[in-house]
Amino acid sequence: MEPLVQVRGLDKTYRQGRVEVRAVRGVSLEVRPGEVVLVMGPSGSGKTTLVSMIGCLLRPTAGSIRIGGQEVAGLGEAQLPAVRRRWIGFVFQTFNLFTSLTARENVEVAFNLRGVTGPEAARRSAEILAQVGLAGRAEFPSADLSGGEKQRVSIARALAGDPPLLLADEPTANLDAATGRAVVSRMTSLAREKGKAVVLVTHDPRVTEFADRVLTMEDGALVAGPAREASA
Amino acid sequence: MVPVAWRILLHDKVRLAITLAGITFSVVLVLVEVGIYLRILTNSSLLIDTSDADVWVTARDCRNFDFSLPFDATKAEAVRSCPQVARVEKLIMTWGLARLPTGGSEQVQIIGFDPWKATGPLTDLVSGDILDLKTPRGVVLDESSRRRLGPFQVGDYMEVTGRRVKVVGVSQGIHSLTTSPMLFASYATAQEIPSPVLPGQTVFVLAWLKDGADRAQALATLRRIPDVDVHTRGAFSLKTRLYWTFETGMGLGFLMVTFMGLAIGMVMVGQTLYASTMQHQREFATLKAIGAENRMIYGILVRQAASVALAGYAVGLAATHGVARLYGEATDIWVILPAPIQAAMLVLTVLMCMAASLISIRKVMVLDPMIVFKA
Ligand SMILES: Nc1ncnc2c1ncn2[C@@H]1O[C@H](COP(=O)(O)OP(=O)(O)O)[C@@H](O)[C@H]1O
Ligand SMILES: [Mg+2]
Repeated sequence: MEPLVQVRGLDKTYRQGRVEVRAVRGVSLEVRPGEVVLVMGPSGSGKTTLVSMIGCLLRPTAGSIRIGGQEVAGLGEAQLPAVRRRWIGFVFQTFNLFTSLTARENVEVAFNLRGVTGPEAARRSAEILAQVGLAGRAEFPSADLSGGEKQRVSIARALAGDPPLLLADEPTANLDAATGRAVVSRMTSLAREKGKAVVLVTHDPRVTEFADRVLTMEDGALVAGPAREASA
Repeated sequence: MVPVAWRILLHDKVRLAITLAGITFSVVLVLVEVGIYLRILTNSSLLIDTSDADVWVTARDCRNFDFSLPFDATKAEAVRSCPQVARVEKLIMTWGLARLPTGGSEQVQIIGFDPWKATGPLTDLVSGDILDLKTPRGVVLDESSRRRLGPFQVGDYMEVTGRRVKVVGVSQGIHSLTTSPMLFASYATAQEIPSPVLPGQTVFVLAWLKDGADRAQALATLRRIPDVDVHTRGAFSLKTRLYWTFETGMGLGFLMVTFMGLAIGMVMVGQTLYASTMQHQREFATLKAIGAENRMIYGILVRQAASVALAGYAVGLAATHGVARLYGEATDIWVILPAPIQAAMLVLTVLMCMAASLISIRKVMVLDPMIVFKA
């Protein structure tokens, strides 16, 4: 199968005045549809920088990123939002829900951005919330949900509009161990069910069992790591 | 669409209340201020505007209705001899002191003219008959003057600058610019009350042109009379209004309060909207990250500004009516709020809130969506 994501020779150097930090150096990787790839590594090793670039939120200093066959590294600011809507769903460490909205509305906003509005958006949002096990929480103010519930809302939001790629940066870091495991378990099984590729950045060794592949970063580069056999 | 803009606004009710209070305050301040100004202007030229005379002849360089030099009353004959003039009336505008039943005194504005029919503001008297002004020492007072002069009614006597006058009628809705009571008398009665107007003098000559007369030609003829100014009714009204607006600094004062009202409103709204944007900046960054176009995010801020503008304006307008009533009851200056002024205020309020949202828009414009990854 064609890779969904193809990263070649990716470099990112942050410049702060005269200080330069080379956060990602020469990273190449591929992710296929339906594949769950874990990116592990110590704090500061460049994991967030890498997913930000794949997520089209950060411009690489050098290298190429192809998503769905399209080169995105050179795209202009004006074209990137459409790329993100079409291809990518984000799950964040701090959930980043819209605090003044209900669980369902949080998902609905993501549909609205893709031109799905009104009762259709409401219906499809409720449907996805049910898939993450939150049917009974749909009309709750998102601020009143528990951490695990918030992260499941954010997974539902990431799945809205059916993007082929999920990017998750430390999704379990703000959750207790059991909840974190449950959340990742649900995310990865839903992703497999829907044929989505997942890039999951984590510190958490307890979630490696949900991955098809584990990549390890050190000092901005991928190193040979404890790889697991692909299950697909 | 999920109404993100409103949800964020409603999320912090205290902040929303402060925002609305700021706008309401602004709207009330500006509308009441403008309304008072309009009422004062209306009052300043009330007797000019409600007269049906075509032409007002005044002393040379007369600047307004209230403080005008008397001149030789024989000028009325010169006016009458103009072929386009159908009718001429002399009108005295002077000042007197009314003795109050309590022993105190009040300044009154004396209008002396010979009524030939009920006209202008004297068309519908509350009681009495305008033509009774022709009886010796008969006067008409406005009911609003009871606030100053104490109770009176038709048949009562009163002392004005040492002369006993008799109330023969009570009018309504006639307020002077100075808020002094207006006392209407015949030309002869007004002459009898001691004042700067000497015997044989008048303060104004009013002229009515013949039907179909050439106005321009009539004015040109009248302007050949020496030592007087000749104004159309509209021009004299405007002159009086402009005098009070510019010569007294009143206009500038009102303009400054209006400007300050808007400025204070803008600062308050700008501050609260900005605080809200800062508090929700991670959410705006998230919107960017998950694919919202910048204009959609600006749309949220603009919608917030427009919503608080409309809501604040509505509350402000209602509050203005309440404040205007209280103010009128307390001062007898009844605020005027014509529809175009209300509409202009609505536009100003929306513009003010839009301007206030600019700093928030600037903030999200430069917002780095990377903050979504920060713990
Ligand atoms: N905006 C930035 N400016 C300068 N340096 C940065 C910036 N963001 C990250 N870095 C640096 O880049 C390196 C990689 O950071 P990051 O990608 O956040 O690593 P990780 O997610 O693995 O903890 C770190 O040394 C970090 O301090
Ligand atoms: Mg990180």
